[in-house]
Order: sequence, then structure tokens, then C-alpha cells
Amino acid sequence: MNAPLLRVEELCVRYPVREPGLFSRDRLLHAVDKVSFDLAAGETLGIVGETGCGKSSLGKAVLQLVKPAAGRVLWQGRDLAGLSAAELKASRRDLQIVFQDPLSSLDPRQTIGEIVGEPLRVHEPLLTALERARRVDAMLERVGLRSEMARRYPHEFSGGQCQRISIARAMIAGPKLIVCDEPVSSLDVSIQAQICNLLRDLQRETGIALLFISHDLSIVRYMSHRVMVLYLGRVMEAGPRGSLFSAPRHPYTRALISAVPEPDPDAASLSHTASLDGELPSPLDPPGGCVFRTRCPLAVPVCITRSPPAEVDADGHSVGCHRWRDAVTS
Amino acid sequence: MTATAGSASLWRKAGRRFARNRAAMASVVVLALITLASIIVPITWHFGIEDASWESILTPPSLADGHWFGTDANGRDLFVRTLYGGRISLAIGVLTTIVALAIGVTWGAVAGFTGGRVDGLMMRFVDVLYSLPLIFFIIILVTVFGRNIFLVFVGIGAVEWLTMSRIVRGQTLSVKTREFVDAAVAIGVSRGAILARHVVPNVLGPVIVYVTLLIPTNIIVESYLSFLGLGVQEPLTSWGLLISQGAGQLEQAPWLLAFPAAFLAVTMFCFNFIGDGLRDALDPRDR
Repeated sequence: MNAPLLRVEELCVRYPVREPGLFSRDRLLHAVDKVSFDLAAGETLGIVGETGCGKSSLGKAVLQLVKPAAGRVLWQGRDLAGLSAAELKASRRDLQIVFQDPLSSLDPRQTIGEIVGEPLRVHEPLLTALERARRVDAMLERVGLRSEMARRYPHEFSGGQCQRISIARAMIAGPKLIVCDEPVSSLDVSIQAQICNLLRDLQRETGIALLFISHDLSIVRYMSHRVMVLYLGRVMEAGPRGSLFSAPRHPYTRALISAVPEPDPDAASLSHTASLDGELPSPLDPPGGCVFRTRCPLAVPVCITRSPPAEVDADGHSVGCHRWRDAVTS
Repeated sequence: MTATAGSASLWRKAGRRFARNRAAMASVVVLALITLASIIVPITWHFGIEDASWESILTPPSLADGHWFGTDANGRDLFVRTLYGGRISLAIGVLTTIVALAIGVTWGAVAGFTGGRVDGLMMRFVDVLYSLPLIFFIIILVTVFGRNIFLVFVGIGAVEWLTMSRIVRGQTLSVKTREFVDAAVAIGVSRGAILARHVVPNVLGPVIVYVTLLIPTNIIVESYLSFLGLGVQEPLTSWGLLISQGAGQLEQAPWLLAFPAAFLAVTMFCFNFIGDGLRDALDPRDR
């Protein structure tokens, strides 16, 4: 494998939460807690987890859209937090994002041409208007839209088309990494497949790396080379797609996978011992020890007292659970 | 497309949509006629605004003797005085609103977009000014600088931007959480450019509507200041001053109230229709 394009070390994101009451102090919500990973060029890392597990915060912290509270984001070996404003702006050319809400991520007052052309205006200011329009047209056609759409406004487009526009905007300046923050979650299933295939085609052509955030395991499985499972901002399990889906180790991963509806009634599903009870605990007040213990079918006293360290095997498949061996055999 | 060409296309489209709105276009025509008349008539009319006459005190409106709108207690022609009053009222309404618009939008957008402590400080400053009644402010200005129509502009403009800045700040707070702002940050667009290119165009709708309410409000504010003797002074006049004088002589000479009030009302209607038309035209989403 190449040297990592992106290396994230022990990244933490915290949000101050104001308590009701006059004299109360702000509390900290730990959205992302000590998450580390590497991402190589041309690779897709899928990030899965329930709503509120810190997936989006992680994506935004990587791009410095929210300020990480601790940890480092190394982009091609350089810490993004340590860059000057001008250097950060320059590296933004390489780092792009596609959001979940197709319409909200496009400025309603701008035409599609202006929206898609904006990265060029920022990063290639010497380009003439005509050249820029030509690049925009070519990009629109590349993502499956017609170039005459450049003169129209976002509200005239469907959700899938808006997502193509977002992708065109992210791609036009030639990025090296795109954070896809639930890019297909608000789309119809048939459109989801089109957008996923578009992203994969673009990746094959240009070698971009993708950080693909989703709560949908099937889509993550389709898109990713490696997968990371988050729960309450912590990494439960991470590994190559194949072994993570065929031989999940963490009880949480097993529960998630067993919850995916199986279209074939005869296909063997994972053991049902892994079903999940209860609610996600408040991230303001996470359980001590292993954060998953309150919902874990295999929890034992040690899970309360000690946070499990990540155990990594030779394939890079890591799991943070005291009892993963029991989970696999149960 | 450059920034200016890009926004020009938006404005061009808005203009086209505006032109299809009949009430708004009619209002523009009426308002233009009133404005033109109040500029030209006082120059060319055969009575001046100060031409008093013993022979024609409180004559009712009549086309025959040339006093179309009648005369007042000093025998002065009401037609020319109404249009001259329109000149002053419109000038005060528009200029004070421009002052309020410039200060309010800048202040509110910067406060809302910067957020945090800066936002808190800027808005507390607004609260403090809010607590200062307009009338006190004007009285202080008049006591210090003497009576001057310019003070009316300064006074109204300095107070009326407060509401504007609150509206713009609230809108900015909601716009800045939208994902296209994050997307612009991720692209590397500078903060100033995000404010100018993405935030301000998206808060313009409510601002335009408020402007069309603010112009007539400021005309009214000027009229009560004039009524109290703090605004426009005789022999200059304004609609508000004419109305307050006319109201005193309602029984002997109802035309003294009717004509200035009608002009004021029609002007208010026009501004409101234009405001509605602009709001619809500037927002590409609702048709």
C-alpha cells in the first residue's frame, strides 16, 4: 500500500452544550473520541454507525469545518491545524465534501453554473469566464447532466440531480479526497445506485480517495474497500470490507449486520443472539468502561471497569471488545 | 461568469418576474408620477408655495380659479404645497431608509455571521440604542445643533436601522447553518466572500419587504416630528405637516386634510405593492 494520503490520529471532536438554568456550566458532548485511521489514494473508507454516533462530525473535522478538540489530521504528512490560512485554502482544493441534503447544500440564489464554477473561481482565479464556463459544461456532462442546465437554479432539479451537481462542484477543481456525508441517504433506492456508481466511476478514473459516511450497511459494503464502525464517537471495529462483513467480531457490528433485511428468505443470516435492545445512551453521559456495554448481550463486569483496547490482526482488522472471541463463537 | 455578471443574471431574471406583476408595475408608474410631479410642479406652477393671498382664504377646490386643491387659511395654493410636501416626505422616507439599510444590513450580517462574543457585543449595543426613545434622541439633537431638516434624516436613520439589523442577524443565523455555507468553506471561499456572495443574497427577501414598510414608516415618523415642531418647519412643508394642519380645520375646510392624506395613502399602497412584487421576484422558489 502507498503512503497514506490522509492520516487521522486520535481525533476528538467536542461540542459545548449549554445546560438549562442560570448558573450551570457548559458541558461537553464528546461527538468523536480518539478516532484514528489512514486513507490511501484511490481507496474508499466506509464509516457506519447509528444516527448521532459522530460520523458527520468526524467527516467535518477531517476537513476542518469543525475544529477538532484534540488529535491530528495529517494531509499528505502535514497537520491541517498547523497550516496558515493561505496554506489551508490551497489544500482545500484537494479536500472536498458532498452533503446529505441535496437542496440545502446548493445556494438557492446561484445558478448551477455559478455553483459548480465557484471552486475554479477560488483556486484558478486567472481563468477567463469563457474557459470556466467550458470546464463547468464538461463537468456537468461528466456527472450525467446537460450543459444547458448551467443557467438554471437548484430548485428546478430533483434530489438525484442536485446530488450530481454537488459531486460536480466537488470534482471540478481536481480534488484528491471527497468526504461523502450520507450522500445518498435522502434519495430513492434506484437513484442511490446511480449516484453510487457515479462516485465509483469517478474514483476509478481519477484515483480520488473517498471517505464514505452512511448508516446504510448495504451501501457501505458496496462502496468501500475498508469499513469502520462507530458507536458513540468511538471506533468499535474496523477492517477490510470482506472480513468485516463475512466475519464480524464486535457484538455491535454483528447486531448491525443481522439487522440488515435479507431479501432472500432461504439465505442463512447471522445468529440472532446479536439483536440489540435499548436506546442509544446520551453522548453527554456515555457509559464508563466500554461504551457499548449497556446494550451488549455479552457484557460482563470487566466491561464496566475497563475500556477495551483495540486488538489489531495482520490484515488490519481491529476490534475494541473484551469478549469478541466469545461473540464470534456464540 | 464573474461575480457581477453572475448576480446581474439573477437581477435580470428578477426584473422579468417583477415586470409580470401588474399591481407592482402600476404602483411603480403611480409612484413615478407622484415623484416627478413633486419635483417639477413646485418649479413650474403659477403659484409658489409661499404665495399668500387675502382674496382667496380657504377657497374650496375649483378648476376655474386655478386652485385645484383649494387654499389654506393663509390663501396659499394647496396643490403646490401638497406636491412640495411630497418632495420632502419622499426624500426623508427614501434617504433615511437607505441609511438604515446600509447600517442595518452590514451590522446584522457581520454580527450574525461572526457569532460568539462579537455577536453578543454588537447586539447588546443595538439593545442599548433601542432603549433610547427616538423622540429623546431627536430632542437632544435639536437642542445641541438647532433646528435643521438634516437632523431629521440623521435621527430617523440612526434609530431605524436597529430593527433592520435584528432582522438581518436572525436571517443570517439561519442561513449560515445551511450546508451550502459549509460547502463554500470547504471550497476555500473567504469569509468576506461567503458573506457577500452567499449570505447577503439569501437574506435580501425579508430585507426588501422590510424596506417597503420602512419607507412609509419613516414618512409617518417625520410627520409626527413635524407635528411636534421638531421636524419640517413652516413655510417648508411635508405631508405629515399638511395633514396635521388639515385635521385642525376639518369642519371648515375638509380638502386641507383630504388631498395630502390621499397622496400619503396612495404612496403607502404603492410601496407595499412594490414590496410584495419585489419579494416574489427576488425569490426564485415561489411563483
